[in-house]
This record gives sequence, C-alpha cells and structure tokens, in this order.
Amino acid sequence: MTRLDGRVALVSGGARGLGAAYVRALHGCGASVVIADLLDDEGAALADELGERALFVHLDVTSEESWADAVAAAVGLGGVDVLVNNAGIANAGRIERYGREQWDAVIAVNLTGTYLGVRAVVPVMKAARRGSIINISSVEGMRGDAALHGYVASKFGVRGLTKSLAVELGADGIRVNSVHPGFVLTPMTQGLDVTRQRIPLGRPAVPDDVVGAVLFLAGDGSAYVTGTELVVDGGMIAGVPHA
Amino acid sequence: MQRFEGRVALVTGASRGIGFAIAQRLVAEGASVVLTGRKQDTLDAAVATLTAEHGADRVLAVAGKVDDPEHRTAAIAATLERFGRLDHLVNNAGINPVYGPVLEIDLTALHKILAVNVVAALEWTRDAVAAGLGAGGGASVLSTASAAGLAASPGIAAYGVSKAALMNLTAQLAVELAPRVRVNAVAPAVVRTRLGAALYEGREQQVAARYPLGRIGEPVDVAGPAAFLLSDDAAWVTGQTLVIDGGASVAPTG
Repeated sequence: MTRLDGRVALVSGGARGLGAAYVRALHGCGASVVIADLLDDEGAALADELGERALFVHLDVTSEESWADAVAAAVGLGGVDVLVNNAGIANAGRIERYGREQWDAVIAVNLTGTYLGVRAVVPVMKAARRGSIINISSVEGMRGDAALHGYVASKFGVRGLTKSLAVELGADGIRVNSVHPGFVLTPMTQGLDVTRQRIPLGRPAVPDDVVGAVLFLAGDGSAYVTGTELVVDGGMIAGVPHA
Repeated sequence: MQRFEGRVALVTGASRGIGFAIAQRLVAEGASVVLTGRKQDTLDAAVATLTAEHGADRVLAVAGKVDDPEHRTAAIAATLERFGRLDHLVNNAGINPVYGPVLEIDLTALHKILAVNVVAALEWTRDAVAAGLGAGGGASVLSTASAAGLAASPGIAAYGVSKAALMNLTAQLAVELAPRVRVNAVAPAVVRTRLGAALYEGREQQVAARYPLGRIGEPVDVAGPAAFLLSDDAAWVTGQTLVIDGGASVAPTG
C-alpha cells in the first residue's frame, strides 16, 4: 500500500465530492493535507474532522494571490510534495446558446486554475527536487460530448498541459500526470441521467473508486510514471460504439 | 491488510526481468503466485529467491513455452490444484527475436511474434476465465504491452505491431469480460532487461537523455503500476493501457 508519511499534499476543490475523497485518502496514508476550496464551511468542517495533519485554506483557483496563500499554508506544514489540481466546474448548452460567459467561466476554473496551481507550486517542488502533480481531467478530455463545449475543451487542455509540464519538469524530479474519471456520483453530476451512460462495469463510480489512482500517482510506486493518462471509468471509453 | 492477501496470481514469463519484478511485488503484498517460464533452472532460482525473501510457501513454478497449449493447460491446472483458485492473470511473456524494417521481416518470425505476444495472451485469458477467474470478486488480467506499440518504432517494427495488437486486445477483452473481470495493460519504454538490452547497451546515457526523467526504466518501475492495476485500488479501471516510460512518449523526438 502507498505510504505518504511526512509528505504534504495540497488538494484544490478539496472540501467535497471527489476532492474530499482524495483528501481523506491522502490523509489516511499518512500525508499532511491542505484542503483548499471556495467552500469555507465544508472545508473547515472536513479539516476539523480529520484533526491533526489537516488544514483548510480558502482558495479561488483563478487568483494568483489566492494560490500563493494556499502554497504558503502548505509550506508551513513542510512543503508541497503532492498537488492535486481537482477544482472544477461544468456547464452545458447547444453551441448557438453556449455563450461567452459560460465558456470563460469553465476555462478560467478548470484550465487556467490548473495552470496557476502549477505555477504556484513549481518553485517549492524544484527547491525540494521532488514532487508529484496530479491534474484531474476527465473522460471528456479524451472524447467529445455534445453541449459540454467548454468542459471538453478545458479537460483536453488539462491533458495537454500535463504533457508539456512532464517533459519540462522531469529533470527536476517532478512528475506530472493526468487522471480521467468517468461518470462519478458527485455534487457536480447531480441531475445527470446515469442510465444514458454505457458503462461495462455496470455502475457509475463513487468517489472512492477514483482515489486509488490518485494515491498511486502520489506515491513512490509510480516513480517512473510521468506525462501519462490514467483513465478510471469502468470501461466507458474502452469500446468504440459501432451500433 | 495487504492488497493481495488470499489472492492467487499467475504470471507468465516470470523467471526474470519485468515478469519477475511483478511476481515479487505480488508475493510481497500477500499473494500466492505461480510463475511460468521456459527454463526450469531459472524458474527454480526465481522461486528460491521469492521463498527466501518472504519465508512463505506461496510460490510455485511451472516450466513451459507460453504458446504451447499443453503447458497452458498444465499451468492453470497446477494453480488450481495447489492454491484452489485463480484471481489474477499477468500476460507478461513476450519475445522480440528480429530487428529491422517491417517490410523486410521474415514472415515465419512475424507469425511467431504474433503467436507469443498476442494470440497466447488471448488464449491464457480465455482459459483462465474458463477455469474460474472472475468467479470471485476482484478478478483482473494485466498484459505487458510496450511503448513500442504506441507509434512507429523503427528497428523493432514487428514487435511494435504485436504490442499495438495486444493493447487493442486488452480493450476488447475488457468490454467482453465486464463486469466480472477487469482487463488492463502496461506499456513500458526501454527497461533494463535481457529483452531490452539491445536497445540501450553501449549507449545507455544517450538513450536515457531522451527520457524526461533522465534514466531508462528498471523492472521495479513496472511492478508498482502493475500491482496497482491488478489490485482493488483500480476497481473502476478497465480496458486501459498505462504508459510507464519516464515521459518518453510525450517528449519531442529527434
């Protein structure tokens, strides 16, 4: 099993949903965790519940200043060994009605937020000569999906950014990978019709199904894994639909 | 609780290299493991090493050729007889007997590569499932593909063709065997093994310089990802190939 004793992990969007599952799992493996989120009440409650080795910090991923505060909080715990760029939003609309505001909002959080998170932690990771950056993309970063224009574009963008970073930062001991969850039951997917999804494993995921991938990429078991894509989707995109 | 406690795994081509590293990792995490390989003496040495490391009577070796149906049947039967079940199959055995352009390849050699690297993986998987793999929870299959199958691989073209087929076979099997059995693959780049030696010996620094992580792979680098994909930590991962290449496949070439 992955052990992360003495390591510090920063999780954006860590207050609920998948982010909270990553926080609990990383903490359970011995890491200190910084829960960074816009949701002050839920984030603080999770930090209280976890107790020792857990800290909440308010984070707006679209703000450089906010990231600087979050990273400073992590450095106070010893550094940043693991960054999980998890914060994300989704919106949808047929292209004629998918307006500039919707596009800008989802790109700002999902793609620019990831970029700003990386910029904020890289100096700390370079100084330590180690680090694992885990960018949460999506199966929508591997395929198209009607109406999800900004979401799909942002998740493809995260996947590409992961690769340019992996190539550039390998020499500094920093690994960068992307995780691509499929249909996961979270607050973000509430209201979507799960019966429309074709999932070979026969069920949608719960957040705990995805934590194994994040722990694997956070730990030393993946020491030679960088620039890659880990799809966790119950086989959703393994098949090519011909019928 | 160890991830593979009470689980039984069969690893083909496990006497050394990547197969041995995977077997070693599974034994360390609690599994009972059956190793196959061509030569009895190297297999015996592998079993002795694993038994000494863990002081456990959880390792069995069955010698034979991976594309020999009688060996396959015997190895699966021996697994059930000794350990009573089969939870994980690792299709690791692979060959790369020829180098050079695919247009000039000896067709007998090409058929042999495909028989061992692709067809055998299908047959082991089929027979393992028929023998009860997937009857219990948490069953999984893992195949050792290669980064050579991701794009054109000058010099090892036929090998690349076979590994590309193996990755597609992985996706096909994942869909057909869901939800009872998960099927995934790993795709390593150049790893320090006998099979890979021709790709780096005498010029390792030059090869390593092309990898963002600055070194070629070691067998143990593949064992961690392999164990993850086989384990319940990857319970919602199926049909996937995980690239393990120090970043090589995303770096610019030339």
